[in-house]
Amino acid sequence: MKLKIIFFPLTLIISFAIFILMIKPEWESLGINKVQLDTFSEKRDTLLNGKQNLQKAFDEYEELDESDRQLIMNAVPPYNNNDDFIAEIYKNMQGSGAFLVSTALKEKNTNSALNRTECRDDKANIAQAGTSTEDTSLPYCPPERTITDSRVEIVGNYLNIKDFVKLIDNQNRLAIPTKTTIERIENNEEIEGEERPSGDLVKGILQFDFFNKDIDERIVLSNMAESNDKVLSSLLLGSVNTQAIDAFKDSITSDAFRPVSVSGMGKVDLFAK
Amino acid sequence: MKKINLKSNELTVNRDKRKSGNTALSFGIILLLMALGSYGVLMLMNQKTVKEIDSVKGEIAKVKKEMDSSEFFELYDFQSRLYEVEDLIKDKTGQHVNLEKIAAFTLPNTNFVSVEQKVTGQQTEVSAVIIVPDHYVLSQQLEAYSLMDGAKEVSLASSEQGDEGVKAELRFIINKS
Repeated sequence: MKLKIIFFPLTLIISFAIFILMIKPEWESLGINKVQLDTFSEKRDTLLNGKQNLQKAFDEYEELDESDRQLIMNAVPPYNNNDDFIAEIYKNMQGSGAFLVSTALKEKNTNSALNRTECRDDKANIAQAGTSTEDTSLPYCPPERTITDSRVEIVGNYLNIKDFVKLIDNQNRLAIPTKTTIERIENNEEIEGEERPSGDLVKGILQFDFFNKDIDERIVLSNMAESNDKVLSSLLLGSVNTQAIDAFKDSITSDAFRPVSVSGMGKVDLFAK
Repeated sequence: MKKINLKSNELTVNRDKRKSGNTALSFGIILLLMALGSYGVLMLMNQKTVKEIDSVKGEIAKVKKEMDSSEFFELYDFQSRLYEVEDLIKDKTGQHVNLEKIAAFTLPNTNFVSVEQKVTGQQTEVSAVIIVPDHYVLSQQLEAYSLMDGAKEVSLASSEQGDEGVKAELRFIINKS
């Protein structure tokens, strides 16, 4: 009889022990797991949504004309190929009728449109906050575009030089002029030859930048899905930035000559006497 | 008739003791079962959650693998080039456009010795050396250039009378239109 009465407080103690040693940790573990499940589910949903939007953007990309895609790839090519550059210059020279005297190329790096500096700062801040810099979920910093500073010296009549400048301005491979100098060549009548351009000869020195951007094989899109990467963020909206293609097409075909109403003005060859 | 209590007090006490002993035993067993049951339910729920986590992790890995495909990589590379192109053409100034503008506002008897264009951001600094018949034509030429679309700060840097006429250096700025 006494044992039966003692059993109750004993079960109370055992139950309390079960609660403390087994139920409480299991409850806490369940709580942690539930939070983890929510976090992972959210991540999965974000990734799924991102993947669907990427697919949409990719479908849009697939629908682009091959020529448009090529236009952009040529504008800022993935590899710095100076042979191609010389070939392009030579083609423009032939198109303009000018003579190429010399070329000089010099490479330099720059911060790109993709805010590499800001990206580096973000990465540094996150690293300072205690995350390893090797963590693959850190923001991705795109490679810098490479600028090649080029200097081309050509000879021809003024119209040849002007045409050459126009061809460089409008060529598919993006070239941003920085300085253009056109000078009259004194005593140029003495220069003879079958291929000598007609009229007064002038010398043109054109300085312009052209660009290339490496393909970065280290890109892991899935690790960047939650970062502030500008390119991926726009793709995750499900579209390709086609306005840039139109703007580029306009920039390489624009003709900005504007007729003027002032009478008595207009001279085609600035250096003609 | 007077009722007589035939039960002894000892018997009643024993029965009460037995009753409360049984109750204690029952409560004890119920309590134990409840505790163990709760633990069991929690353990099962936990196991289920862990399985769900593993399943979601598997789905994440699958989606990640799909996202890292070569097609999306190609798309990313193309989009990044589009941004580069957009950024570069934003500030691009066509040098031939400026030459055509200058030509359109050049008087017929103005001869160029040299012309230099230097791009600084959204504007182009032009420096030109010209030969004109006299200072009157020079002033007309300066006036003509000041009428040019986007031109500002048209100024005469220097002028000198020579054999061919007046040799003058002009400077002006053409804003990107």
